Amino acid sequence: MFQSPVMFAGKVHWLGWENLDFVLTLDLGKDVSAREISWSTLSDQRSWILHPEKVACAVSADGGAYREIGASPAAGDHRGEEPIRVFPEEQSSVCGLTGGFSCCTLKNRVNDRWRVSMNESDAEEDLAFVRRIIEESRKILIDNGLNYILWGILIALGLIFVYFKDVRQWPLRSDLFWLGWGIFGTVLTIWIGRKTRAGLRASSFSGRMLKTLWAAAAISMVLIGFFGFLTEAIRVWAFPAVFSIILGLAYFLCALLYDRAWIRLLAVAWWLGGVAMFFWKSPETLLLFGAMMAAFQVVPGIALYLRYGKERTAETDD
Amino acid sequence: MIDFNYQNIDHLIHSRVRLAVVAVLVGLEEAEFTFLREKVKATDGNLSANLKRLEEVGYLASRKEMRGRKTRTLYRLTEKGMAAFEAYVRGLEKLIGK
Repeated sequence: MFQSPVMFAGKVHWLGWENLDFVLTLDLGKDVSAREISWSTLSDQRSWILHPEKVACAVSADGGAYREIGASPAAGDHRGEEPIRVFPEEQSSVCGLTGGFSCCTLKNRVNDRWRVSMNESDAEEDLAFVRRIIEESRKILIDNGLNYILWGILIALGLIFVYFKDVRQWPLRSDLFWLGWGIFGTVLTIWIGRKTRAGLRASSFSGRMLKTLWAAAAISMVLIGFFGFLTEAIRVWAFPAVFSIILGLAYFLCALLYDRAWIRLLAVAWWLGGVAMFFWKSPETLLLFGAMMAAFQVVPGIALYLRYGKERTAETDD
Repeated sequence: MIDFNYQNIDHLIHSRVRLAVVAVLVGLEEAEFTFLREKVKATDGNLSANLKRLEEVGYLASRKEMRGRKTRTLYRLTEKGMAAFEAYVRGLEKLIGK
């Protein structure tokens, strides 16, 4: 239709050619780094406008000797074409010498081969990009805090119950009570786990380590509680102190996984509470342990849960 | 400007979308397609093509899982992919003299 380039008026401007190959030469004035080279073509068969048969990209250091660095053939018979195509469909296929090198400066012929240089600032930019992405993915939620809340409440209520049971001498064995209470908590944990798993779209090593850590801590406490009580190797008032020390250890490692300093402070609080209970040697240690559960387990659990909700909203908004 | 041998650069990772995908998966065990799409901010078609390319060269592995009535595809970085990523980052650090 057109013997020479024509600029169409409208929202988007297009150039049209007929019977001519279009060659666009860009004189950049100096060596530059280019990450991507792309262009769009239009197809509107009713107006006899078709995509090009081939799009190629060539570079030159002196404006004389050009070397093709890539080409995107537009295969097909033009039927059912998208109205607008972007070439190349995969950026790196054109921009790179061997199919994937998109951040490059192409310059200077050396021994009949193109020497490719990578700009220092490009490398820094790429490294910063990688660091940002890794940092973001590292922060991907590893826990929603619900188990902290659940077990904190269950244990605190259990401790209050056992304290009053012992003080008022209700005819119920503590070990059987804790066994039943523990099974109830485990069932609830599994149920919550199944419910929340459906919403997770990524899993992290940190998440798995966290689960393993808490499973190990729970097993340790159950073994100490069961066999310590059965063999009477540990005095009843000492159990909360021992459990506090184990929880301190668990929270200290958690701080590493969550990368949160305030969780490390929780570990210190558990350790200090444990030491205090060793010296106290009284049935009231059960109540102190219950209060610590509320303060150092339920409250942090709520904080983690709120953070989880906030980050999920941020993910959706992205 | 520092001359740099382009052969030291892993062209498969160097593409911005593929680099982002690999960087996201470095810190994760596995991730769903939709999750990657949000993190990488790519279109479905673009991301699919790049994921396929990374799978073809063995940098990624995928598996399909039924969740309710829906099928979801989960991607993870392979050991080969991790090694390639580490080599790529080392190359960049070397270039900027770190």
